[in-house]
Amino acid sequence: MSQIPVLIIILPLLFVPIVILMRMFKVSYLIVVLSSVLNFILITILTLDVFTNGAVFYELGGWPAPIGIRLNADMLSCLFLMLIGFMNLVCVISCKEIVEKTVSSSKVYLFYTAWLLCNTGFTGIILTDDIFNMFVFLEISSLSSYFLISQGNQKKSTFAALQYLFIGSIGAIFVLFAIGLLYMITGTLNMQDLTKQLAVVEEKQIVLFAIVFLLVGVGVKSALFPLHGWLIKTYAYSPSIVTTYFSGTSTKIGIYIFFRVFLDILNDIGPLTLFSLSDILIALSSIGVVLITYYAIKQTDIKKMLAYSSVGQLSYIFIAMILYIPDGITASLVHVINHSIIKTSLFLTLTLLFISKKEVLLTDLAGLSTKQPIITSCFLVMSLALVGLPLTAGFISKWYLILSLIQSKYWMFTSIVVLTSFMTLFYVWKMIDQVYFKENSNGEMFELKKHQFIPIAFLTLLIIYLGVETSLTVGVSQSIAYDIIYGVI
Amino acid sequence: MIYALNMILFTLGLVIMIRESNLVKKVIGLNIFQSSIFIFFILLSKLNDSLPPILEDYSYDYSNPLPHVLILTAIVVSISTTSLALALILKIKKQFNTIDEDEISKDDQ
Amino acid sequence: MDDNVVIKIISTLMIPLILIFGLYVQFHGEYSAGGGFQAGVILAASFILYDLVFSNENTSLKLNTEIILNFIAAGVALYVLVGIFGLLYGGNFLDYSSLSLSNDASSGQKIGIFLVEIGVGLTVSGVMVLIYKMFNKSKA
Repeated sequence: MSQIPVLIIILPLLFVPIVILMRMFKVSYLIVVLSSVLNFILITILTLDVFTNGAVFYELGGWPAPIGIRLNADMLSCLFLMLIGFMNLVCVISCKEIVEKTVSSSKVYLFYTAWLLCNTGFTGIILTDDIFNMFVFLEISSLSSYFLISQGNQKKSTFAALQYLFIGSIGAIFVLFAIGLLYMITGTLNMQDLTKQLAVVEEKQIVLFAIVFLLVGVGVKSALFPLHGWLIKTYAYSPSIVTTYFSGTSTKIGIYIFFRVFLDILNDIGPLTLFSLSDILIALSSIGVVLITYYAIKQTDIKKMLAYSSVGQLSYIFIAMILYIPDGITASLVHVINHSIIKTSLFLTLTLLFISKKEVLLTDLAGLSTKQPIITSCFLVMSLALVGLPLTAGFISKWYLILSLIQSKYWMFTSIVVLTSFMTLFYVWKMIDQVYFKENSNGEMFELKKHQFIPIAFLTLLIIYLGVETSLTVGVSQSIAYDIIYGVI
Repeated sequence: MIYALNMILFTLGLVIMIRESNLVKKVIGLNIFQSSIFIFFILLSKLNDSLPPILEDYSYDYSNPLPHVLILTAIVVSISTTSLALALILKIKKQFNTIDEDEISKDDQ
Repeated sequence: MDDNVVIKIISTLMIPLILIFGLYVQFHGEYSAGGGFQAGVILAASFILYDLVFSNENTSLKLNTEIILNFIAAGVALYVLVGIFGLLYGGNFLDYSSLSLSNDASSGQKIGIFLVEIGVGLTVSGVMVLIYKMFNKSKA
């Protein structure tokens, strides 16, 4: 029981050599499924434990905290852990055929190896209590994600992966530099210890320097508005199942690091109030939302359109977070969950519909409603949730976002959010238009097997459930938000 | 003083990465950029006239071993990044028959 | 390759030394500067040097990619298993004290670090040789 935090990180890592050693026997997929299921069960147990009994600490090798490395599972980490574990499970369950179609069979085991390593990295980032470990896990997940992206079957996917590698490495090195600066003035790497030391530190200039580097470094990871370029390319050119996986996890990890670093470690300094950083960021994100939504409307490739939409939604999350009031933080946490589920389900539907297609254009959706009525209704629910219609999950988070903007008296930004929500309707309408009102011209059949309905239907029900029954997401997020702002953590 | 030189290295690496269109040169720039941070960490650990932190029978000023260990890890990360980048470049070379970024982007349109 | 006599002779002299130095760094890493990472790279360097100097059709590295992959996986597995071994004895992950045969915490730690470093060394040297082989193979 007490060993669960480390097992969550170690189990995928233990399965990595097994996948490599058993590569002859074509069982990689089963091992990955086993690992994901076990992982999800462990995460659920840990989360229940944390929600009833409070934060869990785990000392590696039995060395006490500031000297040894410690794992820390509090409410914030558990929320993100649940998200990552769930997304991983959904993607793994539905990925068998897709991987077989896109990746050459001699490389399948390497693909799964990278997948497991990526998962290890994600869970490691979330659970660790050591800021340097966070960097190492960040690089583990990034390196494996570069590999996963390069496996796309388009000509440009290798190039997209390489570009992401350059940008991601610069971001990671910025983070490393900031960690060095923080270590220089405090002499500790443990997050909790760092919080204590930073509260009394004299050299505010260096802290500010570190904050700027952290902001840029983590901003790259989480596709903050001016740094989002890589996201569009990687989403468009990576294998579609990888896109599905990353749309729910990769950028959310960036947001988790933001939460952990800015609202937990640096909370006492109020990093966002220095030099009115928060105003600048909100203004930047708002401009970003408008531009990105405009670009999204112009796209004809659905993957690119949804990638732009992701950047836009991430900007909402940022705006809500930076407001630094309980409702805002609640809004951003709820939106992290809801947006992950909505985007993953949209990408998953597209992936399963067009398994062997390289590029999915808007016109490919034409006539879907006559051939696959059930999938079409699921797709409709997902798209409307993306816009934020009532009774879907997207509505709840947008509601809280607008509420918190009004509370903070940012009238202009409120109108921008409302405006862009309507603009979202435009590109979602473009999809729905194709699905319902266009004849299928090219006469292609949509390939879809019976058992692939299950994840899609389940996700759709989840979207509706989270839109109606909000006590789970909102309740948890609210208590985290109050913890952050009134300092109970 | 060394910090200033180090920052020059830092900027140099970044400029190379941004300006060069040759992908291999970009990787070299990335390496310079990473090395500057490694040197920065090693500088942090150094005291005046400190010796390496190896267990001896007498006491003396020794440099802080922790940043050395951290940088060992970071170097391993850097090696993996470099080799992955080079592997990707080889694949790009096979696909596009060039390693110049501008030409690849031109190929796109 | 006949005109490379100097290189060949020197490498014949050097390669055993490099190997022994690598092993020294590996096994002496607990007390002095060294450890699995460095030792792995040094060992891999000797293999790579051998391949660079003496490789021709017949004598190029006979080590198969598959075997190297197995070595890499075994190294990672060794590391994780040593870590998990501590769990079975009620300690935390990577708690080496439980590895001891005689209830002595520090001797257990010695064994633990030793085993973990062997795992690291195996993986690192395997990865280095593999990277070299991959790039060498794909001469365009």
